[in-house]
Amino acid sequence: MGHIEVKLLGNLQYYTEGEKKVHRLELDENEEISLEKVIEELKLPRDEINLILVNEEACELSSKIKKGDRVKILPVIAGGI
Amino acid sequence: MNNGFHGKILKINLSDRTREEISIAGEKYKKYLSGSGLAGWILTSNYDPELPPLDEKSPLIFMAGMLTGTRVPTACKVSVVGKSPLTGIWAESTVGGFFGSKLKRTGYDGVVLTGKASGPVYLQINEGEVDFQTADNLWGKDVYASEKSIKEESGEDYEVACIGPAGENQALIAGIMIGGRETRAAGRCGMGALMGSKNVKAVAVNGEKKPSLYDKEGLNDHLKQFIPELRDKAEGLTKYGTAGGVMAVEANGDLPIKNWQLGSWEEGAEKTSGQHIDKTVLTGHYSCYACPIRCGKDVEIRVGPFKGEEGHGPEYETCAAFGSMVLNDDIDYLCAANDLCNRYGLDTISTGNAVAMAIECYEKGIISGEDTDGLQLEWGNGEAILNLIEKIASREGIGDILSLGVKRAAEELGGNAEEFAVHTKGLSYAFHDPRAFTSMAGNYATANRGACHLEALSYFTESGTYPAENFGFDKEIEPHHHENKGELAAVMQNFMNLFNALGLCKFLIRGEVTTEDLSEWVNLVTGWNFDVDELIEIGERLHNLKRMYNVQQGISRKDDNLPPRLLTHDRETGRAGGSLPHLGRILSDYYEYRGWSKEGIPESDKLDDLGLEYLNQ
Repeated sequence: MGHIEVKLLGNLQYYTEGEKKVHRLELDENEEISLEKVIEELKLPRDEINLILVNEEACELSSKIKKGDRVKILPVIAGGI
Repeated sequence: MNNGFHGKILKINLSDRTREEISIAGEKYKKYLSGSGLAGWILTSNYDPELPPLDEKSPLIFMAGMLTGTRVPTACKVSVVGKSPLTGIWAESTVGGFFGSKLKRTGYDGVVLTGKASGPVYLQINEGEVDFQTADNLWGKDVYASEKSIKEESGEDYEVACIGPAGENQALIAGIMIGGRETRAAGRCGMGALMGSKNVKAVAVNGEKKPSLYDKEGLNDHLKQFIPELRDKAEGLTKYGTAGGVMAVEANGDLPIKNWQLGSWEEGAEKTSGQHIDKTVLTGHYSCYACPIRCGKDVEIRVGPFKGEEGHGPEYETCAAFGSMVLNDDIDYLCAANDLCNRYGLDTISTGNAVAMAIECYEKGIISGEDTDGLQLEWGNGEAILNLIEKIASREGIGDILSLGVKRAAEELGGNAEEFAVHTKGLSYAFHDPRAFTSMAGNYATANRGACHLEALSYFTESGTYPAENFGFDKEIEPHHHENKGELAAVMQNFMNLFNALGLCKFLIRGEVTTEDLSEWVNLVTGWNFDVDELIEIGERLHNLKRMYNVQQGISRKDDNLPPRLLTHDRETGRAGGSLPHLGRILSDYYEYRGWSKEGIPESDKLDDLGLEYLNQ
């Protein structure tokens, strides 16, 4: 077993249960999951996401991640005129 | 037969108290629309461009948008246009609330004020009737009290545009305020000082003369689909207002922090956000005319001279102005600072920049406690910030210097102060950092009124909020790179020019409005037959018209610049750490796309193509 850490930047935490900023998702030893799946699990609205960084590198929704990876999700600029 | 507009404006000479009704041909509306478009044509074709801004003969123009007063969502805007007392160049400040739609019901599309009243007055305009009311008893009163008093005297049906003590004192960063306590501000460019110089405390309008509509049923059909989508997509704005964007802006490295010096302020952003306001001081919501979004917020004022009263909730820009810019994470002081600016009639963007610059000057020894009458101007000192706002509005002590805006204030303060004065063409920056989304560097450098974010709003497209295909742009863009950024800035400026001419709120982009939607609405309201390209060409025409007014003031590439802090100072931290805009490349691409010379002057052929021959030099 292992986990990935997902940090939600800006206002994205407000879309999750408990409004938590940092989430840990448990994974099996050699399991890989797509970022698409991560977003689905956290129930984040797709159109509020601007950028996803895995270990500080920009990645596509289809990218797979594994245990130990650190994910940051950046929101689009809503409001803020 | 005119649909959607009256085809006439009211010109009022304040010096001799005369009024004149001026008819304007429908062709002019087709060419410039209304709002700041038609006002731009009036300014450039009727007034000597060399008139000093505060000369009695200089006009102050209030012009409602082409769609203002109709059912089109957000069609509430009125543009305030003239020569800026702050910058000496093109000034437009477009504002919501209910004044614009009521102005349209006077039977006129706009009002032009010239001359100077012999003493303080307010104008009571009821359809064709214009009464000069004494404002002796209002002079010195704040915006909330003045608006209330005028409505009590004139009638609750009147809508009021009003200045506060800052405008009376001709603070160059004073705005014109709409709606009293439920404030909307024509904040930028110092138009409050222009109104104050004419001894006009307020303009109050009333009437029932709505312009006819070409195809009411067709418009209703189109809106039946659009409005629910807008409401759905703009839900965040409805709930948290523009302040709901603070955290997202910070996460993208777009938030200016500590007078534009730092790159991240995560906890502070959370404490100064609309989400935090919602949990603490929020007391209600309100909207402008014809708006399903309702982004206006009411809050409780918990500190300062108006403790215990209710005020307008801070917008995103103000959260940055009196939050991140001055390192204040106390929401109570932030709300009180916003409330003071609204009461005294100050632009929160310009005031926040001036306060942040003053704090940095204090920190670095350019000003001392002696200069500030003992105020300890330290980062995050809420009490000192409130006191300084009072001084700016009354032009007392150091406040007198800061009331001139950061450019002139830095010149007065001397030393290294100019390093800390973040402005272009004398207008201090709105709070979106061009180091985060570099098309904004192209926009800020070339925006006609100075460092204005609203003339492009391209950070919305660069950050993934507003799809570029909605306004016909299909090139690759990468936030920190310069490629295609000049063109993106120009294309969005053309599009955004339409909003102020049509009287629409730019929040429509949250509903993913398209150029097709705009042309559809114009055609259904007026009976014209514009296609998208023709409409966009009007946007381009208006941008060039305003540029030519600035060229007449001596503006060229030398002025299309960014201050050193934004051009050469890498913030190192945050999402945009390491990014500096390549302004030279962006500008060259921008001029080429626009058909301007390398010095930034529109070429004769371009002006001819746009039907602006009269501005050819």
